[in-house]
Amino acid sequence: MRRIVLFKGFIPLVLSLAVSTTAVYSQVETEAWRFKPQIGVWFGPVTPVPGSKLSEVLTTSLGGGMFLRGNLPTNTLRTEIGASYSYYTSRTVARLHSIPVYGALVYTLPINLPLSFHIKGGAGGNFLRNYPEGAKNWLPMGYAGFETSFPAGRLVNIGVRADYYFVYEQHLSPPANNPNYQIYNGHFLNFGLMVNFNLSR
Amino acid sequence: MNGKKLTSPPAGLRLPQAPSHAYGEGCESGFLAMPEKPISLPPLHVVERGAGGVRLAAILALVLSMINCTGELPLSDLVNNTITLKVLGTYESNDSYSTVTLQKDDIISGTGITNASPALGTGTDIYKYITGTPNAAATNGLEDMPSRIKYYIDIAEIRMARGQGKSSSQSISDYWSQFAISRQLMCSSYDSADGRGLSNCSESAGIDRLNAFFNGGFTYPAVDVPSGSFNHLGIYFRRFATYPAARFRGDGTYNDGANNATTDSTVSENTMTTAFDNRTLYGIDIESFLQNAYGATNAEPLMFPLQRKDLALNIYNDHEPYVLEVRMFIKNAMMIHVIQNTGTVTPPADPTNSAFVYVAPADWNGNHAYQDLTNSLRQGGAIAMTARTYQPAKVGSINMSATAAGSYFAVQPAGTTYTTPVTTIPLAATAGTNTTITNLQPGSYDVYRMCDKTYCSTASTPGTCDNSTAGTDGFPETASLCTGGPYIVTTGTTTNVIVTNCNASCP
Repeated sequence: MRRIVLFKGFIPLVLSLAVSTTAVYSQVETEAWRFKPQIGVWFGPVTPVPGSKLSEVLTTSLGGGMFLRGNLPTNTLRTEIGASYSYYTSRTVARLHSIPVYGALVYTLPINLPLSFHIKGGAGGNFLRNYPEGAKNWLPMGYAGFETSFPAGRLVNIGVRADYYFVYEQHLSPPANNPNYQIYNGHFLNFGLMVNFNLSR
Repeated sequence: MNGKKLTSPPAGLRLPQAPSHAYGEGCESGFLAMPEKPISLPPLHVVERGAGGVRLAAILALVLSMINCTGELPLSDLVNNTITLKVLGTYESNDSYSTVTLQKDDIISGTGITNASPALGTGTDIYKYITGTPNAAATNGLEDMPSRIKYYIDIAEIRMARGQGKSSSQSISDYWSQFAISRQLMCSSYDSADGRGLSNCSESAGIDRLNAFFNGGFTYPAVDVPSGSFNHLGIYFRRFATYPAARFRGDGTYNDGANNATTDSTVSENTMTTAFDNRTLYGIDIESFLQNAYGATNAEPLMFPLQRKDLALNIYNDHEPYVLEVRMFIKNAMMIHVIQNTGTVTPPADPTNSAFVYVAPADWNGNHAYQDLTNSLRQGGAIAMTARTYQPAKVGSINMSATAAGSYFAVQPAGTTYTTPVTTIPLAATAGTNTTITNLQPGSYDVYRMCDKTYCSTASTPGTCDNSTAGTDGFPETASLCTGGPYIVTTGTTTNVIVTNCNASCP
């Protein structure tokens, strides 16, 4: 039995889990680079899905994040937890801060190339704060992703990734004093250049 | 997904059954109110493969327990705007005069064009073009046909701010709230001089927008701004052109564009062209005339933006819809002007000494003369504007006991200094042919009857426009306070005002 103490905020929790996960999987023995526990960072353009309601307001921006991968007792599935930060602007006064946090299963496509291809699916929560209203909330979130990378030595992998977030807001009630209020879910895409590091050799 | 309301998450996505919170309702658990006590997680076995799934589930459970902390809607708030930006081209905030009147500059007198040299009497083409008399052949003069006037207005955007202007160290977005950035075109006709048509104005229904602009207002696309009080609002005019305008020779005959005389007024009108909506059209650009005040070269162009820094715009901090009403006094403030802008060739009657007749806002704030080569194109400040906010769910109204045709009924916040000669337009107003001033936020108001009794001329006291002899300019500068006030307006009620209490200064 082991206890993890939460301090203020969620990021410390993620970081502490990341460290513990690293400790666990550093002892997993495998020869294939792609099955080693990994920690990585990415940055790149983030955007509301074109055609979605929010794309009428927010514009494409830059975002970045980090993630951590662990193994499962299978050669094709792994786990991933990740968090990122995006700051969306608009041509008007609207702004949005977004911090999605997710857990996902990563499936490695059985393609025999130097490149490795992964598809990912999972869920999590998304902290959002907008401007000018200043409304903020954690919203439930679905996650799907695709990634391809190649090894650059035994330690480093370089790749690109694309993430889709479905942010579910329609379970909430509209404000009582605005009868015309329409609630919309969020659809976001992230595209990132990615570097991740193998945590064991 | 766009605009479609989901009743359940997409298939395959298992989401928690979070309780539905009322908007803005706080929560006792979750990220922002998380207790600082240890949380037990499942045991972690160091070398056990497969623990990852358990761990993942634990993480997800934690994350998902943090959802819906506040009940607020950070995404939908970006799309649902509580503001409605309503833009009007009238002095009146409701029920404007349905008929359009066209003023005539005082230099167009009963005997000809005052101060013209050589004299331009009643028999000249330039005089007959304006008045149609006494030698009107087949048509009336321009002053008799206000329906001939065409407006072409291009507004780039409207901005709000707190402060007295952008400092050099501030960026535009630091100072201004750029909440209405969609260009809006208004035009009386989609025809252009080159036959290609005003495609952008046509595609955005510019004729309908212009009609709404002069009759109750059109809705300018806008997004919400931060709550609080704003004092500065600017309307950025890209173009303001009017039709008709006509060119004349120094001797007052119609000019065909090559300084030859012609008898066809249409030929003369068609020599006056300007650009609008990337096309050439017949008319004259009056926006350039409105950029500089009489006798001045303004550091800030007066129409870019047309602005006021002394407003009290209260932006409400709740989700109740509100209206930001912006008014510019254009309808029934237009005047026929005549200028000679080249007069350097001898003799003065030389054909190349051109004169122009055109339609622009009245010279109620500074006299406009015929031969004033320095200042004849400086009419800045002739368009007065104001703005206010109100919440439609809370408004009341003021009812006048009788009509007063030719005047306006106006309200100002109680205690506001509003004395003759007035140089601004009031918080809210209606035509004197109507008796109700609507959409007033609850509060205490002074009520006025406003009338037009004076105009600018060479007989005015220098620097003022106080000539009250036989003429008006369309701008109601005379404020007659309705005694018995201030009048209290409350939600959903009508406050009555006796009109005879308002007649002290107005006829």
